[in-house]
Amino acid sequence: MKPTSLLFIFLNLLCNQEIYALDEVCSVIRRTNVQVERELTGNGFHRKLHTSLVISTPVNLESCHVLVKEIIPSGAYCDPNELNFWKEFGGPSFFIPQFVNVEAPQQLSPKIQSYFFTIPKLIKPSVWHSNISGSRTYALSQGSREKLEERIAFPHPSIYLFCETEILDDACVPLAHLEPCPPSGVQQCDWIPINTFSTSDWVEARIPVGNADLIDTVLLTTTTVTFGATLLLLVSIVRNTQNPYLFNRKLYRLVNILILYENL
Amino acid sequence: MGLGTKRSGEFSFGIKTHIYFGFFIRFALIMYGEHHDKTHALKYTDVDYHVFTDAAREVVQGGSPFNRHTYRYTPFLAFLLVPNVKYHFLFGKFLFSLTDCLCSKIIYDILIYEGHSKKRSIMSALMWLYNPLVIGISTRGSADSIAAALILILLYFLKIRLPVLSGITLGIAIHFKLYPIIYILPIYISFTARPEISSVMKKFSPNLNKIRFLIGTFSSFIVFTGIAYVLYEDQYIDESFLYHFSRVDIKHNFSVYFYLLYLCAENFPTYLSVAAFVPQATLMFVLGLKYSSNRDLAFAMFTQTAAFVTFNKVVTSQYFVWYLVLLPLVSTRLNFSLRKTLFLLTLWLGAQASWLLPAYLLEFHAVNTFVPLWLESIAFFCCNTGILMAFISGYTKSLTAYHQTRKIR
Repeated sequence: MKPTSLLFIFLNLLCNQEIYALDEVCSVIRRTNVQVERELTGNGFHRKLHTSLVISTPVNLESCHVLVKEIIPSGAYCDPNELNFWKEFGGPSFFIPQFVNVEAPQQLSPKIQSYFFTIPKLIKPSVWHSNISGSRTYALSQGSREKLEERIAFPHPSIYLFCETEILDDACVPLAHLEPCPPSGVQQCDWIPINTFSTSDWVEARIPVGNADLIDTVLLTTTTVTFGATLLLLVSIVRNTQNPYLFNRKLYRLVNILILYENL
Repeated sequence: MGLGTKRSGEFSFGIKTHIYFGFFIRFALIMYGEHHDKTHALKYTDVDYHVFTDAAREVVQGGSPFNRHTYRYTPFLAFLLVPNVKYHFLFGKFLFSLTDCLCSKIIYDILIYEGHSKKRSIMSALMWLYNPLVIGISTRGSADSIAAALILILLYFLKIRLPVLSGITLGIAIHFKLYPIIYILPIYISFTARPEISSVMKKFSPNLNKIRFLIGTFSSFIVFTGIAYVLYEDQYIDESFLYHFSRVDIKHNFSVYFYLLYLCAENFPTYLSVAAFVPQATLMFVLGLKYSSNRDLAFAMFTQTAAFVTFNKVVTSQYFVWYLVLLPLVSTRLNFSLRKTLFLLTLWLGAQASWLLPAYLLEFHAVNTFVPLWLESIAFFCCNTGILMAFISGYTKSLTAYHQTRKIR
């Protein structure tokens, strides 16, 4: 085995990646590595997930698309309508095959399978770069008795390559996966999975949750306050019911009785 | 500035000049909003404006506006905003701002019709035109100014005693926003001759005007709702109507019920829905019954809306516009000193500001402020209740009935 091959295996082990037997693997997969770095920006419930891909490959990727396939965890979401809006301002093409309920709390929200498409740009010889951002999240969680914070972890995505020109050799064909085609994801294309590595295992967001232990206090206080306020308002309305006509009619009757009494 | 008038040493502008200036402020803010959206993470444009635009896009593409998730409005709003997609994204914001300015003109006209001085009418109209909350809401792209305009047009028709047109306008308003359904009771009773002294039976018994009003209301509501139903069938009914009855919104908002709803989101008991609805419905009924004289209608609608919003399960700042539009009309009848006015205003704004602090920390800094936020919601609720009580006690009821009845006797 050549020293370069040993180095490759070492690098792959270091990066906790799946190792392919070199003689069986297509050259694109063997010679391509993607460094995936992710970052959640923003605070609170509004987070923006940035994904940066640095692709090291001797292959010319000019005619290639990169697919970032990821699962958005339960409790977070990316709003397809918002992503569509940002697409007009240079945001990534994407495909989300399922309905996304942006109002569902964590317990009721499913994981979301999402596909983002991007075209890599050459930044230096044999190194390509791609950025995906705009995947906004708004995580909601219901009250909890155990903890006052919910952890939502975003695992790293799988990366695939699809090239319009024939750069793949025969060994690559069996490895191809059928995944949605860019840009709309309506059709399916043969994508080649690419080895990835990262300096972190995942990115995570921590969001506060309400204290379910307080439910009885909240229930009692809220109902007492609302019923009390209703009573106060009703009293206020009734107290001001004395309209000028009714008041004067009583006065008028009283005066009439007095006059009558005097006349008698 | 040639429209300024000089009378007895003081210089003042006419309503038209103010409307032009009010529109200019809105224009400037819309332009600023465009710049802000491109340069800041926290956007100026309301999320709902994107929802309206996406719904309009669905219409342009031959689909249903309800294909846009969270679009829960009349489809006619999406039709109205088709130019957002075909011509310019800002069309809707300009439309809402123009409607805002139109509201000021209607407020002015109603007050002039009621016999108030020009100066007083202008001052009241400016309460709406230069209200920062109103300006912010319409320039951010919220469609509440359209509902506000419909309510004012309704009041104008009621002032000039046009029961059919009033009914038609109310029907459209109910179709558009649903909440104006609460106005049916006071308006219906207002068509009673001398409702202040009538028995309850007489208040509810029909007469020609009441029947005309009801026919107008139901026919316009049914026509608009029917067209929407024919176009979009059950999807329209589910999204525009049924959703509002089953809605459990766990995102934090001004409502006193928000934390309770949040904690019970997964399994919200029915008795709690009833417990939340009974106080709201009782107040709607009592207020509608009490201020049902034609001259008190604006106050009836104002207090009903304020109570409705205060006791609602979901309250956002857009909802404040629903009663703020009626405030200029009732302000002329409020017996408040300047000190009391400033105190109530400070109280209302202060309660909102102190609610906003924990809400901001929770939403944008992930600080667990649920309990302070809940306490602030209760404080805001109490503050609104107190202000409503102050309005009720400070309101000068119509004296017309008093004078008329004295003559009769």
